[in-house]
Amino acid sequence: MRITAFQRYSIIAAANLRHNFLPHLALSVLLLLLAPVIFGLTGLDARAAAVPLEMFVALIGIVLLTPLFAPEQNPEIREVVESKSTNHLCVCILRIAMSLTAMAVLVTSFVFVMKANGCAVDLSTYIFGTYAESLFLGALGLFAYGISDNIAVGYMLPVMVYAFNFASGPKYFGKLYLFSMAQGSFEEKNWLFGTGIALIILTMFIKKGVRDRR
Amino acid sequence: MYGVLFLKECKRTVKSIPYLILVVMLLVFGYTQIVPEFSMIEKPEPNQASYGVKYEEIPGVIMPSAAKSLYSEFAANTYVAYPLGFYKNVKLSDNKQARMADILSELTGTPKEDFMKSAGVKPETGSTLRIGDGSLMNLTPNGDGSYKLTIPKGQSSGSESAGSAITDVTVAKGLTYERFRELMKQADKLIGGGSMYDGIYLTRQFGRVPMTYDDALLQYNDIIEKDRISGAYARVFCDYFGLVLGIFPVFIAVALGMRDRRAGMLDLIYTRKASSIQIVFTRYLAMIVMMLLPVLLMAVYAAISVAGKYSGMETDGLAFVKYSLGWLLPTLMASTAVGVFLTELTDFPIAIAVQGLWWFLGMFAGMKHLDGGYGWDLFLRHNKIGNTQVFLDNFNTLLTNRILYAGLSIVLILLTVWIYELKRRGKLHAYNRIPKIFNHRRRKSAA
Amino acid sequence: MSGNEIVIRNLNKYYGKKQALSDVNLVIKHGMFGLLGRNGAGKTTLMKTLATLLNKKSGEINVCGTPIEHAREIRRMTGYLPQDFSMYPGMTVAEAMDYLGVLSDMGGVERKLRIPDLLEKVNLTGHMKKKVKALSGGMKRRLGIAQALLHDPKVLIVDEPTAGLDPEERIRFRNLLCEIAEDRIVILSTHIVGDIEATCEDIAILNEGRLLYTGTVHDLTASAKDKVFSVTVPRQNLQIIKDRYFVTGMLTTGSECHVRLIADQKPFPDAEFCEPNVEDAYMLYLHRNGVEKQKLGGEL
Repeated sequence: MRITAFQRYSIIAAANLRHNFLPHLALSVLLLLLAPVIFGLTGLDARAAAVPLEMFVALIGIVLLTPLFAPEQNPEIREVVESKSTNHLCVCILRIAMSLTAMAVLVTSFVFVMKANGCAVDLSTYIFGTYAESLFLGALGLFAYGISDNIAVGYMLPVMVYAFNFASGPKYFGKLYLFSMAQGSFEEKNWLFGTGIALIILTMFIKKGVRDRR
Repeated sequence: MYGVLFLKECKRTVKSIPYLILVVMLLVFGYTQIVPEFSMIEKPEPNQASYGVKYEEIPGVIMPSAAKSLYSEFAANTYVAYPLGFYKNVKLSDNKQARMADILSELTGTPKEDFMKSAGVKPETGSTLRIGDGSLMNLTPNGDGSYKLTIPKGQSSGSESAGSAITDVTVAKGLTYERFRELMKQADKLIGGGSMYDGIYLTRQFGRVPMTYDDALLQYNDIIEKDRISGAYARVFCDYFGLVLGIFPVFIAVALGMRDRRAGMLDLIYTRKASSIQIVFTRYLAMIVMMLLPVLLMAVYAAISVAGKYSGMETDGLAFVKYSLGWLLPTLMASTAVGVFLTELTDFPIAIAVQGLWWFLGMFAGMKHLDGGYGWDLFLRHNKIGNTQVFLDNFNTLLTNRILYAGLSIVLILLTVWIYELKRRGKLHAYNRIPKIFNHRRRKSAA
Repeated sequence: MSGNEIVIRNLNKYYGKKQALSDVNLVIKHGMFGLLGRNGAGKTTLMKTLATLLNKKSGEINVCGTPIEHAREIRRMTGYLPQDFSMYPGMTVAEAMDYLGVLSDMGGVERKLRIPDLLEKVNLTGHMKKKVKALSGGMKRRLGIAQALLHDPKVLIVDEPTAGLDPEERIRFRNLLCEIAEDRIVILSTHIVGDIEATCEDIAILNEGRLLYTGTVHDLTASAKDKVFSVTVPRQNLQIIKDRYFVTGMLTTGSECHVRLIADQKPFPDAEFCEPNVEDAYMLYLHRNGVEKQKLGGEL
């Protein structure tokens, strides 16, 4: 009578999409739709094209990745869900995968639209660069939310890092400088990507650790 | 009663993690980034090589270079604009190009047909040439918290690339400056606003002239006499802290706004005697006061540091505090009010997204007048030590702006009171309102 | 070790330095089992440990033949209803049930069969399309019990199930639990003695993390035999009596007061013996085990 893991996680993913994920996804799409109003997106050269991507599009990472623990913020809900045989951490990882996928789709589409509008973007580099930054900012939010159990703190940390990058330039952030593509440098994106992944893994381990020590 | 409630709310604010983060951020930012950047203001000496530049509305300077720039943009049909502070590259329809030719014709006294011809041969490379150096939209960090937004001089290579019949663009004889401004306004409208020919930009873009010794001395004297030194620094102090206070208070407002629900306290508070206006206002006031505290602390520190730097000279000991209250407080009030209002309305941290977007747009809009000018911005930029005359010239704008934002905050809080009252009476169910009579009873039985 | 009981041996649990459970030894058999104790006695901790929501520090727990360490297996055979049940507020009753069923590894056919059946049992059939946030306290709790039973667990753990319910709902809920307990282990915790009296045969009393009593309700009540008295005193003497004896009930009429109290010997010549109830016995038990009178006073 039991269902296969694939079936089970498909149903869980669908329910999550519908009940938890949709508002955040809608907000991200809305932000991206706002971009052409704010920026000019036609005929930009390589560096100018990096600006809307790095300064704006990447922010969807904060929207999509930070609030993933919010549905179980209420401890009573968490207890009910955790008393079921499906490991709750797996549900969280599923959510992360959904967010990462949504981010990839949105970023890729956006870069393609820019390309179609005659911007001098190198598709793979710009998609990866924007995605890496987005992932980093979102992972930072997820991490902050995970350790503080306070969603406001979750959003605060990546915004802080963003603002500080904006205000002080590359001098403090070095390899983790967010807006490097606008200056023609791409190496930072690898670091952002790696750090982002590491932060997500670390967050999950912390969550597991907290759970195990209860 | 009021006092006790206020103190309790202050304590509640202090105990929230976002608040602690904000305090640390303000103190560290002020201590390491702002005050150490207060460079000494030197008195200008005669016969210096350069005294910097200034922007002045001298028709003889502005008119020819603006005309040249407009022509080269016309020829390439690529107009640079910054409608919201971001680089935008505008291409006009044939119809609009024709109207632009009319403007150029009147501007230069050359027949319209000549312009239309030159527009016909426009090379496609025009746009890339203009932005090829990458500096166009490049935001170059200055390393001191400010960003340089560089726009290339319009009169540069554009006319050559057009390869047109018109080789030299000169302003028509007898064109008055007033008419010139009108034509520029029309051109700006055709482009869609935010172009270099916009009123604010025109002088900044084409009216750049070197400063003389007298100019520099005048500026220096303004700082000494009108600002009593401290004021010049206080504006920079406000410039930086405004950036922080334009966004981060919203996190505290959201965190505290969601806390009652999270703690299951709603009904316990709803049933208390305190009126909604009392609860909402006291909470708001407590947040504002507690967030202002670290700012004031830094203001005192900055005042002491400036006084130490200029020992023997008269400084204004209260300038930083006065500026903090007049300049920063409305920003703090507004961003907090947005958080309080939207959180009460939606029970969802949407205020972070709203305020974040506002801040984001404000940050770029503020770049149009980074060293003074103000406008309708939520947080006012003044990223230049001194610039006293600009400050004084725009003082009324600044005052109106600040009063407006303080007023807006109060209105938002009054709306919050109204919503709070509706929820309290059970007339508005924003989120997860279940009748908790049962809970109340249980609490009693458990007691 | 039998496959139909829960065996707990030398269970210890700490919150930081505070010991929440110390050396708990308990065997829980088929049927209703009541955990009785004051607030903070460790009932919830014990139940959460059984539901694998908390980890033990030391000791052994074996649920129907499976050690507690095998969390996934345990979760398959236990259903848990927390003290304050809550579910994603945006889901409807049917959606919430379906989602939780999937989390419990249930197949589609099984869910389709059991969900309407269970909602029927808890009287929520008419509210299937209602969102969780729109449910009343009692309805929410009934949804809670339905979700705990969804995957037909061998063990059902309910924490303070009747707290916050109105008297009518409380009785209905108790009856429902008894019905459910016919073919499984049901552990319920409460600090309301009446719940235990009405439903359980076997009980345990916890105090400050220690097990004070395990046995049947009947034996507990019997232990208070000849210790419960009723007496009518003038109102002004009430304070003296309260200071000297355990008062488990009183009724004031005019200037007189009918007092029910616990004492080792007959306190007044005109005092009458009473048939002890579980509440009397429970109070006596706590008292005998060193719980101070003042502390107990707050319990009633």
